[in-house]
Amino acid sequence: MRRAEQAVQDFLLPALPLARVAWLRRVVYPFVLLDVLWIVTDPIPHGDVPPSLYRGLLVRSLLHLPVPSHYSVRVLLVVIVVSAVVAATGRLPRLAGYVCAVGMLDWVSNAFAYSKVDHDHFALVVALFVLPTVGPARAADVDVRSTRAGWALRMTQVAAVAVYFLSANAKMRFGGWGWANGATLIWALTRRPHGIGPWVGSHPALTHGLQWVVLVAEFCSPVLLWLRGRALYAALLFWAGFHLSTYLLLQIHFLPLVVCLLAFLPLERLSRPARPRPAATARPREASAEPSSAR
Amino acid sequence: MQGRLGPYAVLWRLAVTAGVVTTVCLGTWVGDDGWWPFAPMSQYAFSVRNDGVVGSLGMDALTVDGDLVRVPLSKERIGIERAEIEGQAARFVRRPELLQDIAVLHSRRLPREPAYAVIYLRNTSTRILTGDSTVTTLAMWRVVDPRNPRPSGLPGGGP
Repeated sequence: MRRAEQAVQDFLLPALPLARVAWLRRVVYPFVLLDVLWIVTDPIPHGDVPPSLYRGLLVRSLLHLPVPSHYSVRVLLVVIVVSAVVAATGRLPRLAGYVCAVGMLDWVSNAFAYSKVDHDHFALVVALFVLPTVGPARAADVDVRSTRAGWALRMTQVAAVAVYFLSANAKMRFGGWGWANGATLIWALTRRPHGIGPWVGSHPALTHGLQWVVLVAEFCSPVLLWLRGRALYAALLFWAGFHLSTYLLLQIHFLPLVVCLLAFLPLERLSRPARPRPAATARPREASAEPSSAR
Repeated sequence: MQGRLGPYAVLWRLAVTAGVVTTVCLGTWVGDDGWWPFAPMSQYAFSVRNDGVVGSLGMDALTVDGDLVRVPLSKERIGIERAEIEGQAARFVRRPELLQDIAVLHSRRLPREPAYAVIYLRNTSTRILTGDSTVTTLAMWRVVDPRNPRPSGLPGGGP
């Protein structure tokens, strides 16, 4: 029993370098600025939309978040920008981080409260709520390992994987087992023609092949949580390529999810760039009882 | 090693992990969009038959100047997107007076454009196999006081 408990703790609360959290904050909080100023900009015009078109969300009702108005969305924007700038500098990591997280929950739920709900922000919202729990973290803390940091990074990884894995589940729930052999991609390319999209859409066999690749990859995505080294980098490269191709074909980028994939990378190495190895000096090898492959 | 966690700190982290993972899974397995951020990961999850039809909603408007124009459904222009209108299409068909609020939104966001006198909600159906398109008018509304439209006053909705 104790071994099982220990295994769960090792998996969900690994001791990871604080520097990785510091670097992730340096990416995530500036990305929040990009998000509110250039990507999810709907909340500002939503402030002018008559309340009859507001549909709300359960989370907004539970938190008593008001129907957006012309002024409230602008005040919220300032709060998010200020908190994200402060959090990005590493100052007041808990206060600024939580203000930014709650602000983004209000902002993104506003964007989705008018009957169009995307699933590209789940991992980012999770990351914004768990990063403040780590407390202070400096890029110089390369050798300081922390289970606080490990849990926050693991939660961000789990949330990113959940988006992929549950996307495949949703395809089975809403589209059925015939989803991959259907015309969903053609449907999307017809509605959002861009670049080589119309050419791809005119080849049904190709679209079926692409749909199978996506479906299988999404179902297999939990393996990301166990991969290491080159296999992990190859898997992350695959997903980056997938998001790039959806952007080129459909102008859909999923950048909020892509940013969270950085939690898988050893970002702490940015604090200590790899130095060239010193020239090897001839040294007699010591005798060993074991073959070298076993060491 | 810094920040080794005590039993309470470990416990609440494990509880949060279990809560988030369980809720997000339930959201996709049995939930709906109202559950966001735990809503189903359902973008492009529906199935379309290979010999099916692609539907695309749009709005047209007759201006007070007598011109028929396309209503610019985007967050940058009128302030609401086509997908948001599609998500509420059944409401527009059931209560066409909701289109009055599109006129209000247009007057707020694009006041220099000619006001809308009549607004049409239309669907363009395109057959995948042949590419043939058919346009159907789903709802129509004569705007009350087009140059100074007032909101319909219809209630919004909960999730």
